[in-house]
Amino acid sequence: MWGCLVLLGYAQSADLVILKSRQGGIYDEAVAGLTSELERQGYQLVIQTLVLKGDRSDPDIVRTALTRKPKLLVAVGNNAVQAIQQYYERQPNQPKVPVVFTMVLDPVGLGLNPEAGSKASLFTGVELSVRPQRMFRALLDVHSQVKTIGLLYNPDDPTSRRLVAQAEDDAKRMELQLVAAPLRPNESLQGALQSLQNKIDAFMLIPDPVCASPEPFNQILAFTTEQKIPLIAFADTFVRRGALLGLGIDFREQGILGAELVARVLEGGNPASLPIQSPRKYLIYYNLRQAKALNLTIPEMLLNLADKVFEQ
Amino acid sequence: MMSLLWGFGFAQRSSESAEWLFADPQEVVKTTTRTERTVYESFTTVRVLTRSEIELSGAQTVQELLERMVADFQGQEASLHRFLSVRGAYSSSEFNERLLFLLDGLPLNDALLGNFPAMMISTHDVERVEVAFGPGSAMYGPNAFAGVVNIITTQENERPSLFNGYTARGGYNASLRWSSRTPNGTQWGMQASFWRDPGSDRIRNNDTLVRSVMLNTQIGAPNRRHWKLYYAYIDGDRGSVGMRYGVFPTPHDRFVYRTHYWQAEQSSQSETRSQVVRLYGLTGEQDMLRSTPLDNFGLGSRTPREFEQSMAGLEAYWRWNLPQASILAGGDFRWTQARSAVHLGGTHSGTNLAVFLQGEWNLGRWRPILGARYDQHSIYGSQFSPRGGFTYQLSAHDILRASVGQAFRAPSYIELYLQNFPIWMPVQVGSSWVPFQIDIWGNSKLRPERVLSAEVGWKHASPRGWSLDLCYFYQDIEDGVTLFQIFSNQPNIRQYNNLFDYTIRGWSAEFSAKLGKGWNLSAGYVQQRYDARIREEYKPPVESAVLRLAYWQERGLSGQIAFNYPAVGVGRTDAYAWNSMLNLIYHQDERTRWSLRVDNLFNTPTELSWRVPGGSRSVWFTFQRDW
Repeated sequence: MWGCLVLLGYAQSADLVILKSRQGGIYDEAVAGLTSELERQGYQLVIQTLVLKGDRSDPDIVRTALTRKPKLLVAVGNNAVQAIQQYYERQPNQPKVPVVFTMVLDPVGLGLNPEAGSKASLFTGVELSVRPQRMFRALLDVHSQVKTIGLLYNPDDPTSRRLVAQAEDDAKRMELQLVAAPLRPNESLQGALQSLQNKIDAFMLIPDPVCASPEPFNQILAFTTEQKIPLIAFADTFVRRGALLGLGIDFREQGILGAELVARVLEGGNPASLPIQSPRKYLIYYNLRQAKALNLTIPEMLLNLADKVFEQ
Repeated sequence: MMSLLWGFGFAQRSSESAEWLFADPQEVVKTTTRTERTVYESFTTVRVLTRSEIELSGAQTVQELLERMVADFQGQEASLHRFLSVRGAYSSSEFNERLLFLLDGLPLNDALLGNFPAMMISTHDVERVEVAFGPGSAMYGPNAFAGVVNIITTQENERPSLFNGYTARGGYNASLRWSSRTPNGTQWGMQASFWRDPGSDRIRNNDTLVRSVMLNTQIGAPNRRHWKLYYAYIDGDRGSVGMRYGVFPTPHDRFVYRTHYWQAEQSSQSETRSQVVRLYGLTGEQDMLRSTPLDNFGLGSRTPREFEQSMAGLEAYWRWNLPQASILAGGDFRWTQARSAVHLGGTHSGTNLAVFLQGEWNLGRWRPILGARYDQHSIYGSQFSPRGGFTYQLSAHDILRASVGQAFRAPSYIELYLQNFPIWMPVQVGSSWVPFQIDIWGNSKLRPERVLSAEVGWKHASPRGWSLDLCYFYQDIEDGVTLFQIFSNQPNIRQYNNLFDYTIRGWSAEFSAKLGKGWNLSAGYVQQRYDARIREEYKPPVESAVLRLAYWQERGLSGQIAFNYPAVGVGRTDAYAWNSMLNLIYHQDERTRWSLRVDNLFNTPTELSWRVPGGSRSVWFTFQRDW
């Protein structure tokens, strides 16, 4: 009986193979959203899930996924979609299937947009992004005097460069000024922060490890606390730890949007003609203690509409 | 145990997943201090069991879950109950009176025994369990002696969810869950469960039959002023196996527990302050159905020994947020009553008034905390329970913690006023064993048990996905309560007395590693030594360990093999031997799950298996379908 169960789990072909960049947490939330939406739409699919190990065995995992002869692959996270991309490029003569990705921070940077040409013709998906203008608007709703916003970014990272360019465009349209200080991983964070000292009214955290990893974030938080300027971020974890406000992603919705694309591909849609989806809803978080420390009053209406309000 | 510490040590992003930056790198718990602190920043040892770990364990009840998954707990079968010992602080009266249990924050321990039978909460509706070790009386008052267990149930179900499962040997479970939320933030939820755990086929009469209903509603937005109303009813019936003091096993006795819990809570928060006011209480009855043994150890008639109890309380606390600190202050007034004309001599009641204060500071790498609670009880007098501690962040991957505190366990109404409660012990006469009747008396002059507890610990979270937690703990227990022969010429009379002073010194280690692709390895080890000033004739084992290898995926086959040392003990004999458990789960789809559980996989002779002839290994098969 146990042997039957093992065979059932591992050797069966699958309609859909989900490849996750990592196990657990937000990846599982997205997968849960995807599978439940597909079921809700009436799809009875055989689904198998694989997880990358983050090492040289990842191409083998993609090959394993394709041996299941799925109708399409779902990639959850940057690593997963990149592993599939690289496998497809290295194995041009092997059969390929369409790929729907979700939770990818910079699909354009990875060449997954339709404009990228034939190499992206099998890919479509959902981007993981919070538009800077939404964050600026959320900030101005609680602190209308802000004029200059600072941020740190890694200039060698094309994703960060794109995010900063987008933020500069959005800031200009909203008559704000953006001051972007470059910081490479081996450079001094304190030096970069000092270059922003007394020049900015607020600090915006972007999803770049040079500023958003726990230790750099602690230093940035200490800097903004000392400077008495608000810190805005892109996820609730930072607001819990002391940022004034955050605009976050609903990961389950990432899966649901992915499921909609999966359904269209299964119905015969061409991935190349399906535009990359952006999140439809954002979650907003406030930290009341930080608001008090900055002498800011967050309107009651905004607090009522917030997804979570932190007090510490 | 999984430590979700992902966020450290990542360098260049171009070839790495950047979406992890959106995730919370650390689990957050509220149980220790009533404020949110990450597991990493907790100043005492905290263990968190997530939903996937609960499923992998195969545990049917919260009791089993804690025994199987946390090395600091040791299960023990007793006369009417299976209780938990915690880091050597075992039960003094065979119930879980030295642990405080919370259900979604609602205190569950009763006044009659100071107990909550954790075997009567099914794991099917549990989303997560938070365990905070160490003295918790500075925040929660009585019974938070060795730790606090907070059981958090599944709240969000957007559509009705009904599942049922079947196990071999007549076991089954059925549960209905449903919740909904309106656009203005009001939400309601209900859970009804009905299940039978057949117990192990290694022993007779340790089956459990439980019916429970939980209703909750929240009026108002969760992050603003809102009301929460909560009601739970637990009706459980459990068999007994043996007794701590070597009483003849009575495989006919039952422990019946029927209790209503309720709570109404109003919370509000502003920029600088938050406030919680709640009314809570319970009413219920307990029957301890016992058989009178005949001379030949046959079974006489079974008679009920009935008790009733009530509790009502009003608690309020406020929290102020300062620039680098938060202060929490509050008070609690509680009234309790127990009744039994035959076994308690009538009705007894008491009141307890308490005030508590706690301060937490955020001083960069240091996060100290200081708190205290003062209780004034109408029966046993006043108790002062201070607690202090800190965490210090050595580096991005290492954190030190230390804490010291006092806690107390209030004597229960049973211990204070019991009368007309005979039990039977086997006595050898010639070559035969005959039952010898013993009468147990309460003692109205009992003092609360007290513990002074201290702990130092270090946690390392590697960016490569493994973590290690080491801790040294010390517990100095005074006025430990036990039964004692008070008259030298009347060996048949035993009375509760404050007899034991002893210390426990020990250390614990917890290791967890993600092995990649859904695999996780966890190991826990606890060692303790006793320094008895009065020798206790029974104590839990000096070492315990848990080893788990798990594989988890959303669809298809998942499973866990786990080893516990020692296996659950029985009666006065020291527990021994490794118990091994295999649990395989096949997720056919989002709504269908099959599982196969094998207990004592390698058929090792253990205390439980020795007691019952006819085999040790037991196999359960469960099918669950969510409608």
